[in-house]
Amino acid sequence: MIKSFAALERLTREKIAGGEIPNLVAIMPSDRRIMEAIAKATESVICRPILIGPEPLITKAIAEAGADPETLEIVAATDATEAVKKAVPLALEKTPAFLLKGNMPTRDFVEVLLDGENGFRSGRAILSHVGLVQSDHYHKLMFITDGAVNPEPDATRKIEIIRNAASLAGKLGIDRPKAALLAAVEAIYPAMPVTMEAAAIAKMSDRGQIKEAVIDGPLSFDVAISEEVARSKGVTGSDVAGDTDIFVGPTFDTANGIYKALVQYGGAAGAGAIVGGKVAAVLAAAVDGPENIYNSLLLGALLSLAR
Amino acid sequence: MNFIKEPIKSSDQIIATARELGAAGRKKMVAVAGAQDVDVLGALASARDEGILEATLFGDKAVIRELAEKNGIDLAGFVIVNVAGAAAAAHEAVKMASEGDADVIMKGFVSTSALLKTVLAREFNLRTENTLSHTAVLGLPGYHKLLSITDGGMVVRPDREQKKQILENAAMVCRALGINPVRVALSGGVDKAYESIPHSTEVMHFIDEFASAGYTDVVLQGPLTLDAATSKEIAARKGIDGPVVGEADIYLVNTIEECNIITKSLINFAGAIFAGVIVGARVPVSLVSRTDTMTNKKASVSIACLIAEYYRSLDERGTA
Repeated sequence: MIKSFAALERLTREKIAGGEIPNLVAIMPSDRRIMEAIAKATESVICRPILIGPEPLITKAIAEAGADPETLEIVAATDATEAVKKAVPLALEKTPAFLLKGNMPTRDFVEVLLDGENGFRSGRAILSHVGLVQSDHYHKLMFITDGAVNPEPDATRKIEIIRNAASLAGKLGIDRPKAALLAAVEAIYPAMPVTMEAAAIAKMSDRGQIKEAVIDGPLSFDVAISEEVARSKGVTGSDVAGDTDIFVGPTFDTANGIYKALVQYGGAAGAGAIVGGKVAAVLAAAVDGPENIYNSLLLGALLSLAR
Repeated sequence: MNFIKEPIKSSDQIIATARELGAAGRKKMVAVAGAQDVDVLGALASARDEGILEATLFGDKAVIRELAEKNGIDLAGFVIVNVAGAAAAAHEAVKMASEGDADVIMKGFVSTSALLKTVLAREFNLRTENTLSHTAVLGLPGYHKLLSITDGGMVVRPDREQKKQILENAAMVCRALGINPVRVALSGGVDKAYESIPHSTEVMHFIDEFASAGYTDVVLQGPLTLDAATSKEIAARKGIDGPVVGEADIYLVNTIEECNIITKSLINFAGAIFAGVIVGARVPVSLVSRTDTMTNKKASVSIACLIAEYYRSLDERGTA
C-alpha cells in the first residue's frame, strides 16, 4: 500500500523497469515550474515527453528550467485549446501514454475533455478529479475528490466519483479504500440535504450495494481525519472516521478548497489527476510547485502502465 | 469614533486590541446564557485576567461554583445570577443585553438554536433586517492579513438575498477590525464564470446586484479559488488580477458545508487560529466550543468585544 509520494516513485520505477517508458503528452508546459518537473522526470526515465503549445513559450521555459532541449520533442499549437485538441489523439495513439495539463485553467481543459468529440471519454464512464495529498498531519495519502469536474454531483454521480477514486487508489495498492462523504456535521438532519444524501449512500454501502469502497457519511472533516475527535463527538461504529482514504466534497468548490488549503497553507505535498477517461490526465495546478508537478507525473506514468 | 486606528492583521492583535480597549476604560460586559460550562468559564476567566471583559453569569449557581472549583477556575469579579433551566438563562442573558446592560451575549450550557430564537424574539428588539450568520475570522500562518470566512454555521444554503445579508454581517465584523476597504472574494472552484457551473454564473449575478446596493467600502470579485483570492503570485500564474486577488478579507462561500470543511482544513492542517462570532443582531453572540484551544476561545470573546465597541461607536455617531 502506497502511503507517500516516495513510495509512489518507487512503485512507478519498478513498473517502468519491467516494461515500457510511458509517453508524456504535455499541454502548455510553458513555465519554469512545469518544465523543471518534466526535465526531472525525463532524466529519471519516468517518461518520454512531447511538449505541445506555442513554440516560443516552450523554448523559453526549457531555457529557464535549464533542461536539455535534445530530449524534448515539441509539437507546435497556437493556443491552449488547440494544444488539448492535438494532445488527446496523440496520447490515445502512443500507448502507454498520459496527459499533463500545464498552463491553462483546469476547467478549460476539462471542458474539452468532457466534449465527446475528441475521444477522451470511455463510453459512459464519468470523468472526475482526484487530488492526492501527503501531509505530516495525516497518517496516509488523502484522495480528495472531486475538485474540478462535477460542480454539484447528485447521489448517483457521487457514487461514480467514489468508484473512480477507489479505482485510482487500487492502482496504488489500496484495496477497498475508506471513503468519507463530507458535511458540516456528522448528525443527519432533514433540513440539511447534504447529510440526508450522505446517509443514504452510506446505507447503500452498508448493504453491500457499492463494493469498491467502504463508505460512511455524513462526516465532518475533523471526524473524518481523527478518531479522537470522532470519539469526543460520539461518532462510534464507523469504519471510516479517523482513517479516511477518500474525502468526498459535497460540491467541487469544497473539494477544490480543501486541496488548496492543504497545499498552499498546510505545506502538504500534492498531485492531481482527471480519471475515468481512456488515458490518465494529470494536472499542474497553479498552486503546485515543481515537486507537486513531478508527483503528478509519477502518478500519470503509473496509471498509464497500470491499465 | 471607532477605537481602532489601524487594521488588525492577526489573532494576537485581536486579543491585544481587546485588552487595550479594556485598559482604556471601555471594558465590555458579557451576559452568559447557562454559565455552567467549563469551557466558557475557563475562557471568561482567562479574558478577565487580561482585563478584556466583565461578565454576568446566568445559570445554576451551585453547578457553576462546583465546576469552577473542580477545574481551578477563579470566578472573582463575575456576577452570578441563579436561574433555573436553560430557557430562563437564555431569556435573562438576552434581556440584559436588550436593556443595554450587556454588550455581548455568550452561549453557555444552552442549545444554540434556543439561544438564537431568544435573541430574535421581537420583545427584545435585538433583531435587525439581516439574518443571523456565523463569521469565522482566521489567523492564517502564511497569509499577510486576517481571512474571514462565512457562513459555516447558520444558513445551510443561502439564496441571493441571504448571501447579501451574510456578506453585510461579515463586512461589519471587518469594519470592527478597522479594515477599510473590505475586500470580498466570492468562492468557487474556478476563477471565472462557466455556463456549465451554476455556482459560478450565480456569483456574477450576485456581484451585479450587490454593486447597486451602493456600499463604498466593500470591493467584490469572483468567482475566485482560495489560492487566487489569497495569493497574487499564484493568481498571476493563472493570468488573473483584480482588486481582491491576493488581498481577500472575506471569503464568501456558497454553502455551509464548503465553509465548515475549508475552515477545518485550514485549522487542522495549516495551524489557522479561529475566532468565531454570530452577527446580524444588535449585539454580537459569542460561542466557543470544546475543541477550541484557549487562544481560539480568547480570540472569539475578544472579537465579540471589538464588535460591541464598534456598534457603540456607530450609536454615538448616530446620536451626536
